[in-house]
Amino acid sequence: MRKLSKSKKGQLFIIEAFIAVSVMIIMVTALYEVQLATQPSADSQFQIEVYSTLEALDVNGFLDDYIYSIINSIPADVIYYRSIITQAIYGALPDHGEFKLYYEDLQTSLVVSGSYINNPLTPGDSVVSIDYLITEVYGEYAPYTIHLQVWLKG
Amino acid sequence: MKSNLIKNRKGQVFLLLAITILIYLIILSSTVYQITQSPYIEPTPNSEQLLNYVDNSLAAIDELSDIAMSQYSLGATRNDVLDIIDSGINVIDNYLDNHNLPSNISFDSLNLIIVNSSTSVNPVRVHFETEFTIHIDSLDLVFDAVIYVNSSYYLEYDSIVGNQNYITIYKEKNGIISLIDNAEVTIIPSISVSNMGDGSYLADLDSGYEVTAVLPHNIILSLVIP
Repeated sequence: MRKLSKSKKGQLFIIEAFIAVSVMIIMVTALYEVQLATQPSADSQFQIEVYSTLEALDVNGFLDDYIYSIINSIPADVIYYRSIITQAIYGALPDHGEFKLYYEDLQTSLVVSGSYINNPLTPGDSVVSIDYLITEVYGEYAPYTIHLQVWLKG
Repeated sequence: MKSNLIKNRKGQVFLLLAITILIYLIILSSTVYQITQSPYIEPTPNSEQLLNYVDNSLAAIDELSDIAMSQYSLGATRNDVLDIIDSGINVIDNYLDNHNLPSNISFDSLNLIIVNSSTSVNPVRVHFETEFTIHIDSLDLVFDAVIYVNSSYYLEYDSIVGNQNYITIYKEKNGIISLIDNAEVTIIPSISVSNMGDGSYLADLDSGYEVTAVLPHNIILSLVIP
């Protein structure tokens, strides 16, 4: 070992070996970075999931049922549909995901009182806002925007 | 050391090797950087959301056809329907504008068809047909589409099978038929109706009986048995 470090050839060999190891480390790091870059971020992933869930809730009429039960003051239905929407959105979020939701009446530009879900929660630092438009409730022209905020805890 | 390294053949080989490795590293890192910046790998932060808003507006346009058929089946006039669709597309237009998607939406009011067939014609139907044009021109997204909506809801009864009749309720949208298994069917005079769960409803019908079905979106169809 001592000979290797003292001779000129040995020194060159050590430098070459060092460069070769460095190149290998850089290549492995680069491959890891590429792999990370090709995976969608967790944020965009759950955003897509949440939007798809809202779409599914709309197609199955739950978004309409919820606002209809609020407007017509049917407490049992409000609780029932609120729980369906809550469970569906939590199902689309990661375990440490949270959300807040409310309806805005586009004819009056007012928030529909009683439409809040998880109102007491305070959004985290990086909140993703998703809006969803519905124009019809039980065959009536009734435009509402559903405002949804989603975030990850911790 | 430096002069020795350049003069020595092994030193020259070493220098060549070092330069080659350096060039290789630069090319590799720039390639990796380009890959990470590629829009196919990492879309711009809001591009997915913008597409969701477009998708949502198309679904909202579709809902307008259900409103039209519902209101018409409840007795609204053609002008009422035109007003509703006008208001609806304004709302959708504003919704897109408010999400950085300047848009222009219109519909073919002249050729809009809204029909509610006679209660004595089997099958009875309500029909809606028109074209919506949507143009979005934003920095992030340019989108042009003509959406042809041709939608009908039907209530049909079959000829007598034994002493029972099958009433079938279905929707036809742009040529695709889907059965409706969650309608509320009532008959005057009052007799029992069995929902078979496959879009058909079983009842013992007779001449002069009036079958009324409340479909999803509160679309009402009535048929008087001849």
